[in-house]
Amino acid sequence: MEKRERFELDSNVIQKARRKSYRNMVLASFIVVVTIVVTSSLLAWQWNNWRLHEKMVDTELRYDVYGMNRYIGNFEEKVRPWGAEAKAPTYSLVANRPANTARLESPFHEPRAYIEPSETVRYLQNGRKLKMWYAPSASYGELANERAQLLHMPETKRLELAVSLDRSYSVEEWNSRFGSLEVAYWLEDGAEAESDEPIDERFAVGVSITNEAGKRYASPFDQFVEDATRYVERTKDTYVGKVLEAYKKEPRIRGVLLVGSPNELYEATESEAVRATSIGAIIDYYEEEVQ
Amino acid sequence: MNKTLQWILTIAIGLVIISLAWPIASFSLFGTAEGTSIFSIDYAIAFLLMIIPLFVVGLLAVSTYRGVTKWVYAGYGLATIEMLVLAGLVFSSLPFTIFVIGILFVSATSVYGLVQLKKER
Repeated sequence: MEKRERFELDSNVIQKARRKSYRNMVLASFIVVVTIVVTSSLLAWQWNNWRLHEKMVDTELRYDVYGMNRYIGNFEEKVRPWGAEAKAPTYSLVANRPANTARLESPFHEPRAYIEPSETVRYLQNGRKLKMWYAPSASYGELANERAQLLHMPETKRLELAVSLDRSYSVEEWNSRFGSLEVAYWLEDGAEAESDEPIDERFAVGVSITNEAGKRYASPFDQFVEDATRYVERTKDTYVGKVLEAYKKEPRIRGVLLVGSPNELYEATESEAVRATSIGAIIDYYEEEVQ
Repeated sequence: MNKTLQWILTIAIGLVIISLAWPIASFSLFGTAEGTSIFSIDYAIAFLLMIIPLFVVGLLAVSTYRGVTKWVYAGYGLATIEMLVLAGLVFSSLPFTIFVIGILFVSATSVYGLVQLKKER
């Protein structure tokens, strides 16, 4: 009898020990799984956050050098453990107002597809008209000449006019002939023109006179050099690198972007130095008394 | 669990805790005037904010090295709590009191664990 009791007791102990061991194993596995999930999610979160910020800085710098009066606004971010996204408005500044607004979403690729009603006019599929630039050293089948359209416009409009010059001018020589109408300069890239395709604003590198809020820079050219240097360092963009090199050798401009009323622009572009003109963003403007 | 895996997990936890404690520590220096000596009280606080959350990594490293399974798993549990609390403060709107209680609980337990490990030797 005594022996039997002892045996029951022993089997109980073994069972208990086994149960405890199972419980420990399950608990340990649970802790390990939870820890691995939390750790990897947080690592991914940090990584995504960091990657997104790098891309955002690159994009801001890209808008500083490319685009000719095209700016990018504040980013709205959404960072999650598995995936991060951001979007920002892009716009042109006409009379200090955002015009032709579009939304750029991560991974921040520019829209590529466009519609070409004629050889000298391009529209993005979202309706934005692209300003066209013509290099002085290249010859083209047809040059954009939209200056005559200004005569058909009411004086309550304000618009961008991309003016391609007949040759490249050094900055001192140019000496802002169009005065307060000028908002950006298209820079010489120092390359021999090999294509007879005009360059649209997405690929034109230039100096903006104002920042994205419409405030004038104290020294826009120095600002451009700073931004372009950072951009080239970060993205290894060879074209901007070439433009920067040419700029450092001798600062030359081959185009200028004007913003003003139709009449002002028409009169200003009467000059012989104007080779081609292309209209960009147009807004209604009723804030000044119209004569 | 394989020892190599344990080390990988420990290092990953360390990375997460450092990358989350860093913004909190830098934010504590927000009001500090530029040019303040590195031995000032402000920097001491920032340094402590970096070091205190790392106690649990110390516990994990020691217990993994010695192979004391009990404290390895306890360490994982504590580290998970700590990572969630840190992420809650940095990325979300976790109340500051809960953050402080969580960090102090985890770090105090880690120190206790380290003392126990030293005794067991």
